[in-house]
Amino acid sequence: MAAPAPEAKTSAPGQPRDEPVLAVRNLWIDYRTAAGPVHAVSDASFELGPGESIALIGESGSGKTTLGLGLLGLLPKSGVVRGEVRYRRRDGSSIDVLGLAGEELRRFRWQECAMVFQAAQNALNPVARVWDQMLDTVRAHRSMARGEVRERSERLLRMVQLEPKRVLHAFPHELSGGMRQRVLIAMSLLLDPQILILDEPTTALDILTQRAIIDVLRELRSELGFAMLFISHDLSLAAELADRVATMYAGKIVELGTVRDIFYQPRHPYTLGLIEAVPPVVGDLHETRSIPGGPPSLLRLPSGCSFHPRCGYARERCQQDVPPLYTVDAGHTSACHYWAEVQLRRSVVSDSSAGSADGETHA
Amino acid sequence: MPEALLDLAAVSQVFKTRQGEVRAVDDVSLQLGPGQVVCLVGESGSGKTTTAKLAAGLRRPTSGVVRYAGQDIWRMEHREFSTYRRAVQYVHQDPYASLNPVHTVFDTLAAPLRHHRLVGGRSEAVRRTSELLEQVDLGPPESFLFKYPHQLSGGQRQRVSVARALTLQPRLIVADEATSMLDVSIRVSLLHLLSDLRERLGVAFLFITHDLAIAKYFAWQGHIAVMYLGRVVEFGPTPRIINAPQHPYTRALLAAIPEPDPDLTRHRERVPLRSPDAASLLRVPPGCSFHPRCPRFEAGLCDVLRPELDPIAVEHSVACHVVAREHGVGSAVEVEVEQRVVS
Repeated sequence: MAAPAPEAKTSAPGQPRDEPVLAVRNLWIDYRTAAGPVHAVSDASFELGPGESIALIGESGSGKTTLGLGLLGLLPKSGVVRGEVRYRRRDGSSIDVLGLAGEELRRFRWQECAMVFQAAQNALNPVARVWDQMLDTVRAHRSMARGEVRERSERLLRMVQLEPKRVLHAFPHELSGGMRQRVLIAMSLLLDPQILILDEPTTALDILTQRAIIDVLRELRSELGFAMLFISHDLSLAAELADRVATMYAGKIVELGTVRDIFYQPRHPYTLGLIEAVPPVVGDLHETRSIPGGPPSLLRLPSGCSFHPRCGYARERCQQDVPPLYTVDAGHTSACHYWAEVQLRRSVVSDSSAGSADGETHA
Repeated sequence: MPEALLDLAAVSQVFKTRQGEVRAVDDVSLQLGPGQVVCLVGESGSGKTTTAKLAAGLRRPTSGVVRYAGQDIWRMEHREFSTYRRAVQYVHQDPYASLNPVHTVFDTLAAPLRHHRLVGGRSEAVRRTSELLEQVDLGPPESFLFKYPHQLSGGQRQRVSVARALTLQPRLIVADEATSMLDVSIRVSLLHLLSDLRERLGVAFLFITHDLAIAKYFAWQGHIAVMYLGRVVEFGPTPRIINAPQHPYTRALLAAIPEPDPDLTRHRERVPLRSPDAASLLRVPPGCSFHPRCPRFEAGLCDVLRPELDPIAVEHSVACHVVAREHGVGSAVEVEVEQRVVS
């Protein structure tokens, strides 16, 4: 394992990109609560390029799931959305997603932008066979001959490494959690959406099952070319699948950059803290550091930078001035007044420390 | 070797279900000395939680013996059993479910002290519970003692669970996925706390997790037992299990882990499995239960003969015919020798 690893795929910052398929500008999402309005998402802006993969990472309560739901108009009634979400269709025309309602919104949701939810294994109808659910999904949106639906379903199931003959006639309870998750991914792609949103796609799955899902997603994306926005608390998943990563904290995107920016040169103390809290499994033992305290309540956000009470870089200024998104580099932004001082101290790890001596077996 | 604090000797736990018998734990043997750490690592259905419950005396094994300080816990007199109960404490994975919602932190911590008559009056109980809170870094104690669980964060609740486990000065803590429901930033500080307690108080840990990263960071000086479908398939010192795993299942697991490092994780060699999906515990494959997925499967051996844990190095053993044969040990070697003698 000595060969220098080629660089992870990134979206080449600075170069002109294709026009984004989704452009989110100044998005605010509030929940009305008995204790007053809560800003679950504050002023989020980002663009998702065609075929690009962005990871939204953050801990519970950071607003990442709310953001995902907000993009699809799936918020509960207490949720209020402001800002702009522009979606570009394949024919080049563009629509304002937040202005969609009724039938238009429903069409947008599955045909243009599909979502696989958290704990998706429970999202299947327990009393219908997989085939009937796939047929219903297509028929609810588009008229398509039964044979064609069948053909598409089989092709997609094979792409997610499932045996169509066995799976199509099965009821959900006859499949394992990982198999159900793969069925849902296949189902979400039936109508060939341009965007796939995934909320914690591998959480609660065993490692070998997680691995299968990750590999399947990577292959599907390279074959079908959809853009992907995935929401996860798991940094490793971002390292596996993202071109760019956005870190969220207390409702804000606090850092956005390429996957290499974020993992090797994080410039926000919270991103840094997350990375230092989860060092790699293989190789030597590294020091782990925790972030002191816990995430704040959205009802009582600290003044200034909401991360300041937990931050090792914080100074007086951070208690008063809300940091804007500073530009670190082309395509890399950080909402920290002192981003220039933030340095990842852990060296990049290689997995050469042990193992090869006693009988490497995999050829 | 000093006398083991806890000794699981060939324990099995069989559950009867409508679909048939499920052997959740199948012939597992493990020893834990005072102050030692063993991590039980496995995926869902591996039997790690059932093994933990057997160790903590929360379940009685179908067969096999659980010994504490050399004595079979299920044949103990009432008083000895009570000593064992105090010495071995269980920390549950879900801090939201394991604390009584209508009890304050003080009630939760004082109850075992009072039950075992370790405190006299209320002022002594307050003093002792305050000390416990300080031990788990919940300070100042006054601001936590009279709170209810819903007023605490997940991390704080889990610290209260740990404090409760410490009330009776245990010698062994069985922690079942104690950190898995916490956010990463909080998880690390709880792991640090548990490591501190181990060093300061000399408590032994049986630590159950599905997460090899956590096993690595908590048990670096201890051992890892990897479980698959109810059996221990590999046991060894943590650094060896992490960096030189021998059993094909352990190797597959380590190669499959997504790492928080894009270059590392996208370019690692994978161990290709013959099947991505695990067998059901209701239909455990014959021979080695991993054989239908195993890349090193040998027909006529692995699907016929059940591998036992064979030592391949100091403190390192593997239940795999193929690996054991490479080290000149194991039942496959014995069978060959027998055949040679016979012919």
